[in-house]
Amino acid sequence: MGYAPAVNLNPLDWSGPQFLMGYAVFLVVAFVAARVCQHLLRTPAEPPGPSELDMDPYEVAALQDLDTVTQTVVATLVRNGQLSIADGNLRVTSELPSDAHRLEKAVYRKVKHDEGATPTELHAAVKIEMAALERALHLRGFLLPREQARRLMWTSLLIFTAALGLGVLKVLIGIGRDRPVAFLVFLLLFATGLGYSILVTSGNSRRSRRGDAALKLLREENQPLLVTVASEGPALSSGHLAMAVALFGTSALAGSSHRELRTMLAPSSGGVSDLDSNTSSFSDSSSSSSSSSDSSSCGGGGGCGGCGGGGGD
Amino acid sequence: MKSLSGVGLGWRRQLAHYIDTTEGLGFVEVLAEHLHPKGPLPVPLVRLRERGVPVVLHAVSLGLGSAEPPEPRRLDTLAHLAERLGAVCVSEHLAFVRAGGVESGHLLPLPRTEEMLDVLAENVRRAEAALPVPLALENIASLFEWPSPAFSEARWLEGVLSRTKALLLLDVANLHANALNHGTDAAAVLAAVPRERLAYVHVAGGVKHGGLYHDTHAHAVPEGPLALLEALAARVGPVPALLERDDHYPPPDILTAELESLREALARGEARWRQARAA
Repeated sequence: MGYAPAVNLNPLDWSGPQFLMGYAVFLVVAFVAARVCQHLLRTPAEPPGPSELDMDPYEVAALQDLDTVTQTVVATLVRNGQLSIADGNLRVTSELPSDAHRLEKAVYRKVKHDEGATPTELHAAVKIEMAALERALHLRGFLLPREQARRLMWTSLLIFTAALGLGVLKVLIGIGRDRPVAFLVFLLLFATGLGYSILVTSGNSRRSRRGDAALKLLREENQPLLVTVASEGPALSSGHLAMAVALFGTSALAGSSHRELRTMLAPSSGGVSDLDSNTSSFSDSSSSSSSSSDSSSCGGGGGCGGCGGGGGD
Repeated sequence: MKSLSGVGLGWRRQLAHYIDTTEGLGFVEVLAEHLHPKGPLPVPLVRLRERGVPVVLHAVSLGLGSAEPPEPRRLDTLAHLAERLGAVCVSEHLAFVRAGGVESGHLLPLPRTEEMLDVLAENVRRAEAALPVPLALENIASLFEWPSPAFSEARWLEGVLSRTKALLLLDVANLHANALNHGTDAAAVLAAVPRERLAYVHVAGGVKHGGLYHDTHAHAVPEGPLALLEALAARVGPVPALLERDDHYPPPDILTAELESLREALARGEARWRQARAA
């Protein structure tokens, strides 16, 4: 009668290849657990009702980040003619009404005092005024209190760090036993870099799951606004333009009439975001149409107005 | 065909927000050539469909007046889009747009002859067979006419309707342009329109330039097309009418006023129609 070989339950005594395989899986599980923990702790989670979505553009922008709030304020002031862009810099062009929003006053003052201020330099002025907005969003359960946000990030980092600790222990044991540990060290470095960067980035969001739901609903609700702004429809009010920027960022300013503003607000965003591709995929299909009757309202068929000269459809 | 009613507006990307937030629009019309044949529909259009706003699919490149039959590929695309949009009907122009692979780039007028009617009837029959919804044919405006027409425009439209089962999309702006540029008898055309075959009416703005009226879809709607719309409603009763705007999009309040001017013209016409029926 034979006996099955005993299974070694102590992973620190496993052979190198055996440990590497098992540990890689363990790290993935630990990372997922940390992310799940982040997600679950971002409470409240109940989706907001329609009346709770009645927010001004600056509140909506504050659901995202400081950058978006600054972009929204600048877009509003430029659209209203109080600021303009010259040589890529902001400058004051007309007086600000006395009943302007306090964020607008803060940015206006900064530009007036420091002409040529970049969006990054405006952040400090905006940040001071954002506290009131954040408090209001916190009361609605859209943003987490700072303490809760900090606890959430540290909890997830602790879970992942504990998993990394096991690997470090195995490296020390390996070195003590004079075994090769290069692959394990490489895995640890890779996991540390990738895992921490993702957990810290996502953990920095102060939005609750309820806030996520609010943003998602508002974006869905305002898709027609995005399509109109990006395709340079009729002149929209500054409120509508601000809401488009608050929800969709500078991607909403894809039209040529907003190019200068977009370049100034997001000079380093050379790439095309998801939102860009959402809006441009449709405009491409229509703008490319002028050269081919296959896809043209005017080519081939001609005249959807104007195209046929005196003709028309 | 599910019936259209009220006043509609041509859906354009630039007007997506206006259309989404404007109450009381009876229907919208979408240009087929502005949609990707296989890509996702624009979200605002999906939302309108979900809200139950009737959609008409409007095409400009089928070329029903060509000697060659309409390309199956184009018909397939239209049929596919009509199904995805849940379109009430598909509309196309009584026009010639290509021959031998050469695109005109414009909607060109058809010679108003018996032979042309035969060709047109066959092309329309093929198109109707391929489409899942009724087809409506639109009269066009043009800067020239073919010499020695066998029919007036009114008799021509009657001929088209008698030779096909298609509906009519009457563009009163085009009729107004032809009346000014070619002396077309607009009243006779209106008198030739059978209500039961009329799908809807197009109204658009234009401008006089160089001695000709240009149906630009980029200027305010002048009195002429509105008077024709009123006269049509006075003859046949309530008709669905759609405003086309393709460029120089005005601010929302101006656009709302233009739509209101259509409603007022229709209301005046309907009042005359009721009076005439009561008399």
